[in-house]
Amino acid sequence: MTARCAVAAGPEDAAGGWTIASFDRVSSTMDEARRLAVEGAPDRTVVRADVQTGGRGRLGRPWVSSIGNVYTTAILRPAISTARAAELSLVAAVAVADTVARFSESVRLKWPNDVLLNGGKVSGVLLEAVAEGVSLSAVLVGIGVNVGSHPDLPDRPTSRIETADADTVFAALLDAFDQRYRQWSQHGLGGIRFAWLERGPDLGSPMIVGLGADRVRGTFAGLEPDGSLRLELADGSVRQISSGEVLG
Amino acid sequence: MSQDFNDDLVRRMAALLNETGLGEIEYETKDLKVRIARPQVQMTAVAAAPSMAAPAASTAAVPAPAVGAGELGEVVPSPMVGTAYTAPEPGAAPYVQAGSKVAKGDTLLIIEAMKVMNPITAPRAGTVKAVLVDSGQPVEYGQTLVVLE
Repeated sequence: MTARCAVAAGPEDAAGGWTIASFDRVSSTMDEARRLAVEGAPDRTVVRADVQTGGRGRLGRPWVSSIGNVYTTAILRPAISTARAAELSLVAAVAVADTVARFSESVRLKWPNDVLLNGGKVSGVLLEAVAEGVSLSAVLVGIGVNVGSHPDLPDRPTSRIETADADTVFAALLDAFDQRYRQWSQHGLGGIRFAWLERGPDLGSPMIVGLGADRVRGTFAGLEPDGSLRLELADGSVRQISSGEVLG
Repeated sequence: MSQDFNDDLVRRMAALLNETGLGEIEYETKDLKVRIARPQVQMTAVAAAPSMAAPAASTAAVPAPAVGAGELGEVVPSPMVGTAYTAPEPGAAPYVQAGSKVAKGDTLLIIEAMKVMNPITAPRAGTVKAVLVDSGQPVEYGQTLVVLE
């Protein structure tokens, strides 16, 4: 399954650098990262693959994974409660947005972690917590970035970074993620939330959110301090949404 | 609620209470005293498991999710607001169902919050008595997800 595995040190900092495990081909970087995490891989271990044969998104949705794009999963072991793992969703979103912004200016975020380039989905982020007993053992942050190609999806436009190759984008992503993860680890979600809002929807813009089978209409009213979505309803009340699908 | 109310501390203490099965935990510093106690509620029906109430004040007793309540078994509460998923993907076999034997640490279901998939694991070995949420259902903090016996 793995034709090559190269382990290299990433950017160094006072808290220790990143360990990068590179593969030609894996079933999915999430599966590989989970295996490494269970084996005890330390905080800031990154799995990267040129090709995924079984790439996936949330709820088992397939993630088309042809060569030329970035497929990577970071293993993080922050000392936090399970309830705070959700914050890493915004950390990842902001890091990917920083990365895409190095190559293009028209980057926007859709809550919580969709990154849009020229209005199309340029990246996919998948986060899975790993439990050990009843405690949080690790969080796997899977990130795919369209670079060489982008899939045609029936339900939404997609885009790609056209001005760089996958290696360049991966290096930029690791650098951006390192900075944002460190910022979050040291200072909490405040600055990350601020950076998210800078690239998020305009306050007051119309928004439709899917909550299970329901559709709720309102306007964007910012983010709560914990990163959950604030949706202002027609009657002026604000609904706090921790789990939902922003549809438009 | 005081200005410096530390809900993270309360959550950690509530989790510790559940983990250890203790009846009460008290934590005190120079200017803060928090006592977390398990309500002395005998469950009469599985569905009547109380959900986590908002803590009233940092010095007051805070009701923790009722666990280990007698012969009815141990309830597993949700550690967060989110959406429950009882199977890894739509159409797949559920992680557990009534009658499933589980080992400590086995995944019972997933709670998704802000697109983070969080496994909810069995606090101990046992048999699943009931799964009280449907896949795709929104859940509140402290809501009973699963009952173990």
